[in-house]
Amino acid sequence: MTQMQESPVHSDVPIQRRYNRGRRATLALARVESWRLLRHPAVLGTLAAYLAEWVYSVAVGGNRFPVLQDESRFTQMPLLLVAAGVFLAVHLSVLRPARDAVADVYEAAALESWQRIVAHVLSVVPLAVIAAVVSAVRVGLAAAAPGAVGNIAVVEVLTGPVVVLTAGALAALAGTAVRSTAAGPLVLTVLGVVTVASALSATSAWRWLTLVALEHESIPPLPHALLYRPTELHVAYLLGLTVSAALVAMVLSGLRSRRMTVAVAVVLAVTLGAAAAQLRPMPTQTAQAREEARTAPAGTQRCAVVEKVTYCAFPEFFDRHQQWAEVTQGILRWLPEDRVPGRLAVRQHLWAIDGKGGTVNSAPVQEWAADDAAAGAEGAVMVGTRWGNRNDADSSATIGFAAALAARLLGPQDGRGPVAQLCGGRAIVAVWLAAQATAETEQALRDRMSAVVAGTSVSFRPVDGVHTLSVDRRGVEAALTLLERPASEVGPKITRSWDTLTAPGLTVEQAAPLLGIQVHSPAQAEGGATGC
Amino acid sequence: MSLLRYEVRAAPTTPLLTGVTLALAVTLAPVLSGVELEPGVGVTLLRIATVAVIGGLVFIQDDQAATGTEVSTLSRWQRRALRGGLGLAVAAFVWSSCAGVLGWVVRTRTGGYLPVQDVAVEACSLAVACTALVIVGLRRSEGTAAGVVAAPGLMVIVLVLVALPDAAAFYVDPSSGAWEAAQYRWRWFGLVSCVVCAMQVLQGRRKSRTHSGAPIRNFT
Repeated sequence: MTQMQESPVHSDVPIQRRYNRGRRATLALARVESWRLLRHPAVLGTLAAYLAEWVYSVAVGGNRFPVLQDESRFTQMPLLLVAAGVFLAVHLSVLRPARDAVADVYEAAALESWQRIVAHVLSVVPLAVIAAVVSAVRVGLAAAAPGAVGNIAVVEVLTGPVVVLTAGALAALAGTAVRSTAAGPLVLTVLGVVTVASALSATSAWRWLTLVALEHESIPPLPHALLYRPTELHVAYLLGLTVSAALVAMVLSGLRSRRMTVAVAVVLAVTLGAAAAQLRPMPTQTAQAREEARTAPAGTQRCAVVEKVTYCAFPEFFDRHQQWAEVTQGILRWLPEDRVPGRLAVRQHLWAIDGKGGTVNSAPVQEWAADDAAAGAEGAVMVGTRWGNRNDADSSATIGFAAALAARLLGPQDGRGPVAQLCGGRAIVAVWLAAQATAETEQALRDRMSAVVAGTSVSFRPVDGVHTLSVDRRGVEAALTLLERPASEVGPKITRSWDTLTAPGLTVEQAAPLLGIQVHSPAQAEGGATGC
Repeated sequence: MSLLRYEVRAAPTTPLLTGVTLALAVTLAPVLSGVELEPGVGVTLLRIATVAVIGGLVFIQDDQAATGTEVSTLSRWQRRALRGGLGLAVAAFVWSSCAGVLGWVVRTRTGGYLPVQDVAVEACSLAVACTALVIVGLRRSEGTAAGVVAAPGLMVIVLVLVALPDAAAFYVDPSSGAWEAAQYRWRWFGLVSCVVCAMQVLQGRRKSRTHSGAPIRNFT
């Protein structure tokens, strides 16, 4: 009978060759896993949802007037969807041996457990590359829009793909630390809670510790120099988090050595350092630049003269003057020739930029008037950094500028402090002139009115947080009625009866027959009274 | 009663307990922090609690020994119904508690109103969709691991619904004008999920008959 003896197996293969063979096998497994990952239902589902959302946003018109530094940031949030799909898929892949009850069989495989973890983390790289390409195309298309202003923030664009990579590494860690399929979805829910919490406190510093640092939606687009977003540090933090998670997962898979301990300690230290550095308060230089841009912007702006009108904007927003010029010309075309002012200026302003809400305040308006006078552009009409009809805030700013300009062209206004008030025929004329100027201003007025559900007057805010014009609601509604007719029909009537229609005492009832429309009596109008 | 005790012992309750703990933590966080809770934020927290509870509940049907306990005096569906009923009772109790607490916090701190009934419709629709996924998971894994399909499926469904544009949004703020339309969509979603669920049950029964032939009536 043959006697079996146990004896250690000595390999004749040199260590370096074994290492190389292991590396080749790890890369081969990573290739196989990445292909499986790309076909995983969770990844396919979330990727399809991401693409569908993008296609839909393009199909409904998209953003025709993008601010590129903001568009760069906007690429991050949708990629969280793909990152979540990657998290679920990688987690299930890491647990595959345990789920299929073949963990013991894997012991006989050529690869160590930690090498399989490395392969799983590496398998996410192709998806991160796809995410980077998709984000780049998205921003590239935005940059190609004729109304685009600003500069692409490359690091912001890279953040989304890095988040996808981080999600994969965190999933590998979750799958290694807790060998349960339930852990993945529950950890993902926790990550979701943290993301929602950071979105709810979008002005806090700690939001930089989450995957994506959102900005408060009330903050208008800002020039790059006024933004305080430590994006380079955030990407370093995310990469540190990715490598830390991967290393810890490798340690938990059995790769325990002094070298590994040192590597984990160094990477964790770098990650914590980057995390802490993100939390530093805004530099004094940026704070000073913000204050200057808010109170006295003339010194930092570029100006252009189009058809005798001077437009001044922050350098990154300079091209926006083309849209302002379109609106201005659209309004001026219906003014009687003798009423077109010889000098007219438009200046871009910022006010509520800290995300804590602006207030109706006379201070900025007076300071701005002094700044305009010092720059030789006395009485400049104000305009903000928002434009277009992508959301209510953009629409509000667009019609706000057009209405402020139209109101200025009517002559001196009655006012309550810094807020001018328009009533009767003047309200109808100003709002109609503003809305008919371009397709964007007309849509903006409709958006504004759908947001104003009650009240006897409608406020117009060309700049976020600055309320400059209040218009009688009945006048706005009459203007909306006029908009149903072609501008070529209404415009000449207004030009012919300009003096009568813009006379201060003319009521809506008196103006209506001149324009050929019918209006409700004050009792029938919403609110039962006029705003004047 | 002895079957109930056995099922409670055999069922994987850790995911459900973790989900319940997460739901309670999300609910109690604003209570303990003393923040003013707007109805919109309250609804968001209740939705997160819903996902956490359902995410834990979908694992309740997992049975590693399923392939070895094919022959039994009790049908597998009876045992599954018992587990499901028990899990559902716990989930419903926890969800109601979360809704009650959040509703109270919203009412007392901001004077607002939390539309609990509407969010309950959302939760039920999501639960029915997950039941369909659980049935698919049970069939694919021969009864061993329904959660492998259902939990990631739940997450993908929720993420896709969150990502939908305004014109087709499911998750909207209660103060939004689109709330009614979203509730209408949720009801349709629940109805479709019910149909899918019924189809999965019928398909499962048909397959089990094809595989196992006539049921065993007499063990003697």
